Amino acid sequence: MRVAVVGVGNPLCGDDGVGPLVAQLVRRVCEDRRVTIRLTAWEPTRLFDAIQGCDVAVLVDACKGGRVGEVRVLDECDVPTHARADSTHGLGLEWAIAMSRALAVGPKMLRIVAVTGRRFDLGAKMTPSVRHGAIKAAERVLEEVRACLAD
Amino acid sequence: MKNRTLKVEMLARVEGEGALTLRVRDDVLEEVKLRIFEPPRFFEAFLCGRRYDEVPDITARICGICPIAYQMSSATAMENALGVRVDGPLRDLRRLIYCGEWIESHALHIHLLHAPDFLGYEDGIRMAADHPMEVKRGLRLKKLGNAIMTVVGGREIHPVNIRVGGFYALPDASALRGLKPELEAALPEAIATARWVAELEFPDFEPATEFVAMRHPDEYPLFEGRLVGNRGLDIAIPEFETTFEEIHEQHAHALHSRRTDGGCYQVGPVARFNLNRDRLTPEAARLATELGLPKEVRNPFHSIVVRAIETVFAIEEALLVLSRFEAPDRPFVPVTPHACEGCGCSEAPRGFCWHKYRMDDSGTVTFARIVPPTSQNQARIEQDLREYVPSLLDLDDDQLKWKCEQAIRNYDPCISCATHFLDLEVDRG
Repeated sequence: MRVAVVGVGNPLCGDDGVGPLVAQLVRRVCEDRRVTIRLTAWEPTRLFDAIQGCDVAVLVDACKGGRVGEVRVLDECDVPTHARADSTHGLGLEWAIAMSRALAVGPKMLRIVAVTGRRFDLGAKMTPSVRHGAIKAAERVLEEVRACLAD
Repeated sequence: MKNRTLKVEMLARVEGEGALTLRVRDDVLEEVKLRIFEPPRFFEAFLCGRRYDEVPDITARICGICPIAYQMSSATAMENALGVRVDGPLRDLRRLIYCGEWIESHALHIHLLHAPDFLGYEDGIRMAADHPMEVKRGLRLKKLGNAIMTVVGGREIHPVNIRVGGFYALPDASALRGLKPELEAALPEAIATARWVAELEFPDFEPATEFVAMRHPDEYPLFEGRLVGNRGLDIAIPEFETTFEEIHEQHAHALHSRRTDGGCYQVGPVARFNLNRDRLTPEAARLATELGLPKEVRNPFHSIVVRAIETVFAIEEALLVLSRFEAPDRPFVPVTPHACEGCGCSEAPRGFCWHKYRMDDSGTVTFARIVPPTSQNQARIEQDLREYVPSLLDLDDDQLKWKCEQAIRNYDPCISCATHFLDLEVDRG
């Protein structure tokens, strides 16, 4: 069993940095060698690489919608299947998931732990409630990881 | 169908926000407008008042896919102004990181953005299901380019290691050595990509075009040389501003570049290849001959093949640099600011990027001008569409939109860079 935890987001863009923050929190307490923990900003092929070949991938990302700081666990089916690629630069999370599926190199199971953010501007500080939500999100990631490893 | 307006409201698989409007009256194409509505970014304005040594890192932010072009054009402009020469291993390292940028940018455009047009897929993900081997190969090549950027520049997007006079720090020697086996493994993959794209079906379209690119006495150009053209142009870098002009078209936030005599021109891989084929590395040159590329490539749709050949070049060049690299004593040449002005130019993956700066005694920037490749190609793209679309007017709007977008993607336009661009609108009356 190989599990990949990937914190997605840009720490320079306010609440978008919650994914990497959660991954760092998980890294502090998770020492299981079957688990790899990575941080990635928005370079899409890096995220694609990070979820290749593992059995389970747990992606942590900021999202919009809902109460700020709220933590939700989403399944792959919650991610839009049609990944628009309007920009050569911003292929994004949906692209990485869709491409890994198209090439049959993606994880057998994918979970997304999402934290609702409010401020995503370059240079913005992370909203306090999002920072607080990061702790809850890290706990949810660890729960997901432990459940996978126990199966 | 005598009169119609075709609108592409948001061009896909290009960088930035732009649109295309075609107006057709009595089956005659009357108007082509490449509308660039990405907001102006005012980089030149806010560079003024900043220190000269901040400029490479600020201009790198213009683009996430070709930051090295902006860093190298600005750094060389500063160095030319300040009388600083960066050569030997430091110059080699700069060629290496530039090769990384070409590899990652070309690999992305060939495999995920342009090949789907030729093979009839809506995008790279749909193409991947039927062509997994080619897509995986493209992703491996892009990863290699990213790795070079990371080793030399600190990170793959907006690298942070290039400074006026050289680098902030020398790359880790073992990480540099680690690139060699990856490059050696990538060379046959890049060759396979070139052979694959050369088998694609290309429209029969050869507009008369003025090509402009840099040319170096000994090397395929990256960031040194003169500006040359296929119609006799041969000027030093500072002469760009008296030979070319930027004009504002009402439908675009990006300035259009033209020759001062009014003619449009093409920059980018095809122009570079046509004007520097004799400077290619051995395997890239042999491959160009094997694939039957003419002495002067005029069909813009062949740009995908030229990009693949340039990818082979970049891998060979990177290997050459690594084979002779010996770490210098220090990562940069000392720089002392003084009042001066200078120009710099480098070959971004999508064409040359020209910069000019003026500084005061303290090294504070008092004037900045940046001419990116996509703004130079805008007029040429519109001219290609004026000449290409009349033969396609029997197509329905969806088919016509597809063909137009494919033609635009020949230039791998980077709209965000140029605004300093797509959505298609065809008005058939």
